[in-house]
Amino acid sequence: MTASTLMDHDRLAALGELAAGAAHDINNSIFAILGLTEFLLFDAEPGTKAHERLLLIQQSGVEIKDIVKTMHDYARESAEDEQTTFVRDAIAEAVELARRSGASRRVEIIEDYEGEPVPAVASSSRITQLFLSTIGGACEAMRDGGTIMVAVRLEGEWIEASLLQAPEGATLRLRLPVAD
Amino acid sequence: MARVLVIDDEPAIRSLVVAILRDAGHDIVSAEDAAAALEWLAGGSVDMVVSDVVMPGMSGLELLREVRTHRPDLPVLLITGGGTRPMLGRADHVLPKPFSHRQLTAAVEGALA
Repeated sequence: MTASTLMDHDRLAALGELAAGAAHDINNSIFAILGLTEFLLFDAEPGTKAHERLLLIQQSGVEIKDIVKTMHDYARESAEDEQTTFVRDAIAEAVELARRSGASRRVEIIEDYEGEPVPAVASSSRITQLFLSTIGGACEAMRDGGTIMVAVRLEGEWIEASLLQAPEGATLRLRLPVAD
Repeated sequence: MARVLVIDDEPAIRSLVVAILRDAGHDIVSAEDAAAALEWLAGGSVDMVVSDVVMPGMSGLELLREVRTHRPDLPVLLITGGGTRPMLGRADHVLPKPFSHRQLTAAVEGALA
């Protein structure tokens, strides 16, 4: 492992700890908001403005909960080494994070996953990180809009994962061995 | 109806958990940390413990170990805002925050069954 890789690993581990701590605090606060909202919803008359507004608070709380879960899963996996992983799930997580970040607002991301998910020998977090940073870079380059296509295909004993950016045409292609 | 001891260092969270379980018909006592909970357990009678995991001083997992030593049959439900992985193989009942009223009451009833 090079010094630079070690620094990256340490930085990722620190980032993971930071994200896990933030997720813990946000989950506590969201529990308080959602729990109290549930009490208020029980008292509010369905169909009234108050009831509608409380439902909106509840919906927002659930969205925050989902964002925190995605962030927490990503941080947790960042500390893990290479393992058996579903490439499709790792890429879908990167797409989800990119969509939630708002960076891809003007860009359409098309996901094309062929067949059933097949496990590969790879680091889930590194795949997510690689696709997330490539999508981020592509979105930055396509400020006037465009399309990004991510695809996962099984090619014999290999899983091929790719990213194609249009109209610029930058690509990313990974070939990963299928796990036994 | 069961007598449940609720432990959480965050007053807002503790009072919310207490309110949900009281609404479900349980008799609730509460403590702000694991040390106070152990004092309570030494002198009082409860049917179950619901405890936060990350707390100042003794954690929920350390409290679980203490309870298993002295009261091995007492069900303990750990509620956590963090990941549930550290609890795998150590706790029998874990509920990640945030959870709904129904999820909490179902988890308590499941642990008591």
